[in-house]
Amino acid sequence: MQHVWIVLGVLFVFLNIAAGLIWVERRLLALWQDRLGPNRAGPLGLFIVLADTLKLFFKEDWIPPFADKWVFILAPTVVVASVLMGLAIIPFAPGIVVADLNVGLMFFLAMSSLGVYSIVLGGWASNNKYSLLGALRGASQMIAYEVFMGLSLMGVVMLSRSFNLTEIVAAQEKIWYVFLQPVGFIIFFIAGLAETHRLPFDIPEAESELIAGFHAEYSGMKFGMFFIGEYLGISLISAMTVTLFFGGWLGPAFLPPVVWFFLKTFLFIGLFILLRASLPRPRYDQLMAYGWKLLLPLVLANLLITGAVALWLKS
Amino acid sequence: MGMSLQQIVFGVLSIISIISALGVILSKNPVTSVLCLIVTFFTIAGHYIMLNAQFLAVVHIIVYAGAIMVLFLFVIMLMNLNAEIEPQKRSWLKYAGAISGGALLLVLLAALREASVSSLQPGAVEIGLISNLGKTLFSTYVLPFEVSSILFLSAMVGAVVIGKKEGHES
Amino acid sequence: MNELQLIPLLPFIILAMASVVTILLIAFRLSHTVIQVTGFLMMCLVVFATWYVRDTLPEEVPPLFIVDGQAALFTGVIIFCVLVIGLFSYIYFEEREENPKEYYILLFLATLGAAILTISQHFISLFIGLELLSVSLYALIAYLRNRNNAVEAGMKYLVLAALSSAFLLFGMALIYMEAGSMKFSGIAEKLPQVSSSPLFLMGLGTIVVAIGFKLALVPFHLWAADVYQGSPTPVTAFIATISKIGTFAVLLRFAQTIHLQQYPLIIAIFSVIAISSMIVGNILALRQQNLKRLLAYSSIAHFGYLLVAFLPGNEAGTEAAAFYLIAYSITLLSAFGVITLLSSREHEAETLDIYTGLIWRRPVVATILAISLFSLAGIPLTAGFLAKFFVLSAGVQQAVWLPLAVLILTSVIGLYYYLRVINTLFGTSGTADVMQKTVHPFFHVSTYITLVVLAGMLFWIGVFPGLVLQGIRLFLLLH
Repeated sequence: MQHVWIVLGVLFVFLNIAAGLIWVERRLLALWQDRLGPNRAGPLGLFIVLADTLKLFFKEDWIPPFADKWVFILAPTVVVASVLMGLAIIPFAPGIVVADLNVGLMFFLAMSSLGVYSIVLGGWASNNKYSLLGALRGASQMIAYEVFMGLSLMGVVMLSRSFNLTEIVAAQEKIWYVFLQPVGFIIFFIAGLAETHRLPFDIPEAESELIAGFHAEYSGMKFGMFFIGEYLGISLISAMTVTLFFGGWLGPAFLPPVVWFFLKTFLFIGLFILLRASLPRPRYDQLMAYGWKLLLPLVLANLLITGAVALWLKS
Repeated sequence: MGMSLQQIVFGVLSIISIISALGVILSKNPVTSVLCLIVTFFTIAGHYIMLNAQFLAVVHIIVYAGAIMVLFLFVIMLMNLNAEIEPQKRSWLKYAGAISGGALLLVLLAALREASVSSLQPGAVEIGLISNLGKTLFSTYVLPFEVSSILFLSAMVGAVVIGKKEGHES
Repeated sequence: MNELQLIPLLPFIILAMASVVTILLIAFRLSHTVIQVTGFLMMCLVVFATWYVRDTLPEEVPPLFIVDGQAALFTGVIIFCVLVIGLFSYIYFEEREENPKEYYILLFLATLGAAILTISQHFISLFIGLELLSVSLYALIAYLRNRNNAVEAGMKYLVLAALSSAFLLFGMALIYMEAGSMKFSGIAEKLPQVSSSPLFLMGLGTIVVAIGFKLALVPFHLWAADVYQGSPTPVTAFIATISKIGTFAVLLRFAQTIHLQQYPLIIAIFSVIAISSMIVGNILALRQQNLKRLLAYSSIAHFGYLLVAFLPGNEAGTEAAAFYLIAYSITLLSAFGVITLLSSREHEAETLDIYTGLIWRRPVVATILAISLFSLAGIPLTAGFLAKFFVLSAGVQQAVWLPLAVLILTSVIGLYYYLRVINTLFGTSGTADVMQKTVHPFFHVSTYITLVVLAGMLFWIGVFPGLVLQGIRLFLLLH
C-alpha cells in the first residue's frame, strides 16, 4: 500500500511542480529583466497557473486536416510519459523511490532517449515544413547530446561502482561527486539542457526562424502536453543532477531528507531559468560542432582520467 | 486454468510483439512500420526482463528504440516516403515471396514439433545482472569484446568515408 | 586469460594496430606514399610476428580462439594477399582523384576480420570476424562512390550480406538451443545426442546458407558478378581471395571439429552445392564480355571445385584445399594485377575489346594475364593444374564420383572461355593504346616486378610443388 502512495505522491508533486513552473519561470524572468511579470491574478499573480491551464483546456482542440491524425495525437503523449517514467527511479529520501532498479541509471538514459520521438513524430505528423525542420534539428541534437549525457555519467558509475541511484547517493556520504567529477557535472548539465531543448538550446523550436518548430501546428491541451513535458523534463534533469552530483537527499540533519532534496532541485530549476534569461541561442551547426568537437573529447578524457585514478587508488 | 502470472505476462508480450511485427511488414505507410517496429522492440525488451536480463533490456531500448529507430524516422522523413509513391511490386514477386516464406514456416514448424525444449536452468538467473555481465565480459570474453570494438571502428570509418563531403580535401 | 596466451595472438594484434596507425598517419596529414609504405612495413611486421610465435603453436586461447598450424597457414596466405593487394592499390588509387587514404584503414580492418575467422573455434568469434570482414567490405566496395556501379554494388552486397548474417545468427541460435554450447568442440561433444534433431540440422542448414553466400556458391551467388564489376579492382581482388580464404578456413575448422562429413545429408547438400556451382559458374561465364564479371563467374566455379576437396573430409582433402587456395590466390592476384595496371582514371580495363591484340602492344602484361588464365583453366605446368589434380586425387580416395565427374566435365567447358580471352589477347585489330603517364615510376616498376614474380610462382608451383606441399603438411601437423 505504501508503494501506491509513493507513486501517487511522486505524480502529484511533480505535476504540480511542472504547473507551478509556469509562474516561477515568468516571475524569475521578469525579475532578471527588470519587469514585474504576472502579478494580477491572485496573490503575487499565483493564479496565472490556473488561468493558463484553463485557457489551454478550453481552447479548440484542432487537428490540421493535412496532418497524420494518429501520430499527431501520439506525439505529445510520448514526452510526458517518458519523463514521468524517468522520475520513477529517483530516490527522494531513503526508501522513498518508486522503482529501485539495479540498472536505474541506464533506465534514466533509456527514458530520456525516448523523449526525442515526440519531437520527431510531432514535427513529421504536422505536415508543415517548419515543423519538419524543427523535427530534423531536434532529432540530431538529441541523439548527439544523448551520447555525451551517457558518457558524462559513467565517471559517477566508476566511483560508486553501481548503477543503482540509491547506492550512488549513499556513496556520496563523505563527499559530493560534483567535487570529484566537476567535468562530468558540467557536461551532464549542458547535455541535459540540450535534451530538454531549453534555451539556449531550443533550436528545434527557435521561434525567430521556425515559428514554433515542431509544435507549430499544435494547440489546446496537446500543446499543453508539450509544455508540461518541457517543465517535467527540467525537473527531471535537475533532480538527476542533484541525485548524481549533489548528494541527493543528504544534508545536515536539521531538515528532513526530502526537503533537502527538493531545495537542491529547485536551485537547479532556477539555474535553468537563469540560463534562459541570459544566454543567446547558438546556430545549429555551432551546436553540433560544440558537441562533437569539444564535449566529446572532453568527456572521453574525463572518463580516461577517472578510470586511471580509480585504478591507481585501488592498487 | 492454472496459469502463473509469468505465463500471462509472457503470453501478452508475445501476442503484442507478433501483432506489431506483422504491422511492420503489412503497413503501407513507412512511418507506421517504424512505429510498429518500436513497439516490437519494447516487447522484446520486456521478454529480456522476464529472463532477468535487465541490463540487456535497457540497452536494447537505448540503442534500438532510442537511437536506431530515430535514425530510421529521420531518413524516412527526409525521403518523404509515403504510401502513394511506393513503387508497385510485380505480383509474381509477391506470390513467390509468400510461397517461399510459407515453405520456411512449414519447415520450421515441422522442426519445432519434434523438438524438445529444455527449460531454463535455475542457476542461470543471475547472469543477466549488470555486475555479473561486466565481470564475464571483461575477463573471459575480453578478446571478443575488444574485437567488437574494432568492428565498430570499421563501421565508423566506413560511414565517414561514404558520407564525406566531396572535394573537401585537396 | 593471462599474458602468455596473448603471445600467439601477436600477429593479430599487430594487424589491428596497423589500422590504428593508419588513422593516426591520416590525422597528421601524411601523404599517400607514407601511408602505403607504413602499411607495407606493418604487414611485413605481421609476417615476422607469425614467424616469431611459431614455436608457441599450437596454443589455445580459451574460449574463443585457437592459434594452430592451420590458422597460421591460412593467415599467412591472407597476409601475402594483402601485401600484394596493397601494392596494387597504390597505383590504382593514386591515378584517381578521390582521396585514397582511408582505404587502407578499411583494408587492414577487413584483413583482420578474415584473419580472426581463421583462428576462431567458437560461434561468437566466427560471427564477429565475419561481420568485421563484411562491414569493412561494404565501404570498400562503394569506395569510389562517384563511379557508375560502385554504390549499386555496395548496396547489393550490404543487403545480401546482412540477410546472410541473419541466417547465420538464426542457425547459431538453433544449434545453441540444441547443443547448449557455441564452441565447436562443445557442440562436437553433444553431437551424438543431438545429431538427428531437426532443429540442429535446420541450424546447420541456415549456417550453410550464410557460408554459401560469403563464398558465392550457387544458389547464393547472385551478388557476385555485380559486386565484382562495381568495386575498385583491388577490392575485387580482395573479395575474390582474402574474404573467401577466411570464410573457407572457418568452414574447414568447423567441419573438422564436428566431423561434418559423417552425415550423409550434409554431404548430399554440399555435393549439390558444389555440382551446381561448377555447372552454373562455368556456363554463365561462357558468353561473358566483361573480364571482371567473367572472373566472378569463374570464381563461383572454382569454389565449386574447392568444395569437392572439402567433401571427403580427410587429411588429403585438407591438404588439397590449402594448396588449391594458395594456387588460386596467386592466379587471381596476377589477373587482377593486370587489370589494375591497365585501368586508367576514367575506365576500368574490364571490357574484352581493351585486350584485343594486347600482346603486340604490352607483351609482358599480356603474357602474365595469359599465364594466369592458363592457370585458372588448369593447363598443365601451371599451379592451377596441380591444384585441380590434388583435388581430384583427394576425391578419388573417398570415391565421391559424381562431383568428380562434374568437375572434369565443367573444367573442359571452362577451357573454352579462358581460351577465348587468350585468343583476344592475340587478336589483330588493336585499338590505339593511350600511354598513361606514370605518376610514380617506383611503384609502377615494383608492381610490374610483383606481377612477374607472381607469374613465375605460378610456373614454379606448377612444376615443383614439393616445397609448397611440404610447407602445408608441416603447418597442418601443428594441431
